[in-house]
Amino acid sequence: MLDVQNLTRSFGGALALDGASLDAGPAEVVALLGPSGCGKTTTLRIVAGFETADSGSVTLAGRDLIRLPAHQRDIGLVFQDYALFPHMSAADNIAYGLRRRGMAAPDRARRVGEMLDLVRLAGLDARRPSQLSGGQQQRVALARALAIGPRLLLLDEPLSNLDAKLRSTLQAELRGILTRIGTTTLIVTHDQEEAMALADRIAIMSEGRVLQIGTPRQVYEQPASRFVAEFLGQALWLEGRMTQGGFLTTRGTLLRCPTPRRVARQYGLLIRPESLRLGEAEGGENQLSATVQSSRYRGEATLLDLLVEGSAPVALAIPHETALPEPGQTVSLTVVPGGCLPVPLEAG
Amino acid sequence: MIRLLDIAARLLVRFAVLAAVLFLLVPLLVACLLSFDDRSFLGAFPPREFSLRWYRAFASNPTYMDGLMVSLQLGVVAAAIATILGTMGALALMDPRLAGRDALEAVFLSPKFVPTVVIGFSLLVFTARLGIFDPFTRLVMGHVVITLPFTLRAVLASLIGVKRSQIEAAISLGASEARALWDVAVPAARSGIVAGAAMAFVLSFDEVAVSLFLSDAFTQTLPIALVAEMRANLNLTIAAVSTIFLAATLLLLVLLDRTIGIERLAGDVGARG
Repeated sequence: MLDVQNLTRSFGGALALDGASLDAGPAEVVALLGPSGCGKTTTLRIVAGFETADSGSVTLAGRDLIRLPAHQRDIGLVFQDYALFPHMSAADNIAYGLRRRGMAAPDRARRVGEMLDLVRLAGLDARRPSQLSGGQQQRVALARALAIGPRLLLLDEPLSNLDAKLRSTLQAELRGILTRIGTTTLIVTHDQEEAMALADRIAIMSEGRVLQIGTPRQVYEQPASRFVAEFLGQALWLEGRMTQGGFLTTRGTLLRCPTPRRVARQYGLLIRPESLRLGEAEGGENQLSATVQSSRYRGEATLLDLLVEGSAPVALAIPHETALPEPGQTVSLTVVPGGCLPVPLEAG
Repeated sequence: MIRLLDIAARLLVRFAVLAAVLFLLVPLLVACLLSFDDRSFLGAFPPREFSLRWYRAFASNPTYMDGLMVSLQLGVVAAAIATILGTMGALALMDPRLAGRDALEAVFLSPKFVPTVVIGFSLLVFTARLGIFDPFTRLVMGHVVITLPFTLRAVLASLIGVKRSQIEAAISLGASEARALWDVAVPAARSGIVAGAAMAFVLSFDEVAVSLFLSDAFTQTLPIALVAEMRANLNLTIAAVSTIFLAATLLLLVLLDRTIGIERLAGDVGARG
């Protein structure tokens, strides 16, 4: 459906995009996730037609998009600041794209009604954007983009302007709407939780390239490189090398682990905090020693800041019923079976 | 001690404000009163008898009446052209992709900082070179040059609230760039356009220096006719005309305040640099 190949773009010598590629199938929701300045917004703007690429191609259902002007691309775009037209009512905002397409008034009114129902704003059609809450404005922006029946929907940081509580409610609602309409969607976000909650697949971007693209489970559990492993979720990263029977840390601890999926020159070992247990296990295998740095009360649990093997930091959630070790104390950590993964240092 | 200084400073500021207000208003009031003076000569102030004789003198003087017609037509035509050009210029300056935006804005606003005498003389030479000798056309050109910075500035100020993303949203929904500007930016700029047009008209109506260069004996604006008349024989007709000017300006201000708000207008005028 959407196929983005080898986009490059430089701004006055600085390389914003360095061969970024990604794809999205019919009705698929893909999140473009990365830290600020990684090129994800530039990618979105090139797809939308507001930015030009130095090289590379963008096709949508086999049609070359690069050659089309932005207003002929049939792409629905929801801006981070919503960009509603302040002098128009919610209904007129939603009807704008239909007017531009010359839709007759009765059809237009019916379509606007459908859209208002879809985003659950029925009855608020006469309100001006300034009379709507942030969440309502966001939904008007979504309805406006969807009203034209776009071939592709682009969402730029869709929930970042909302407060945390509203965000999680709207996340579920947005996911429901995206499933119902079945439009191919590209979401740009720096929020990994948002990406995991909304997307079928996540493309991780860094320094102008897509490092890995896969389902949320794939990118979390099988990261292709150290950057991906550490960008998504919490991670304990140990330096060392692959050896017979497992991974040998620089401190000389041997940890049994699965063989890496990709051949690389150098590996590190990724352990997610949820695969670590405080204390020694029977058999004494797969154990690490750590020094307690500090602890932070977090309501549902207490976070214990540990320095593993003298150099690798990790924060471990400790349930309240467990006794907390004191700062300075040395503790043992056990890695649950299958809880570690050798990951290439560099992206392939 | 500090309290005493505070009180003294406050009194001083109040006195200064009062003095400034008197300085601004008293001459206007004097002119206003004098315009109703019944005496046929410039006598001692205040006048003892009042009449409308100077207003009648104004209305029965064909030079003044011709000048009034020229000034009204000139003001409307020049303000209309300056408003259209200023709006288009401001919309163009809004585009972040436009290279050298600051330099272009400076060029657009430059007539504000060039002495009007220089503009008048330059245009006289320039129009002669172009073969334009019709005084009304010349006056329109001159007045567009001097009022354009004000209309541009007023529209630019009213466009501050328009975000590029709103224009892009309209484009993504199927509007061409021009259509998007028309649908999104122009409605937001409406108050700036009205304020700019009104300012352009007022500025054009009492402009002297540029008009002096570009008018001839048969096509004079009202201010030029007044200056000429004042030099030939000083009488109180000019006070009557001043009072009419003042009343007309006040009326315009009240109308603008009703439609777009005085703060907005004052802000735009205050930005004249």
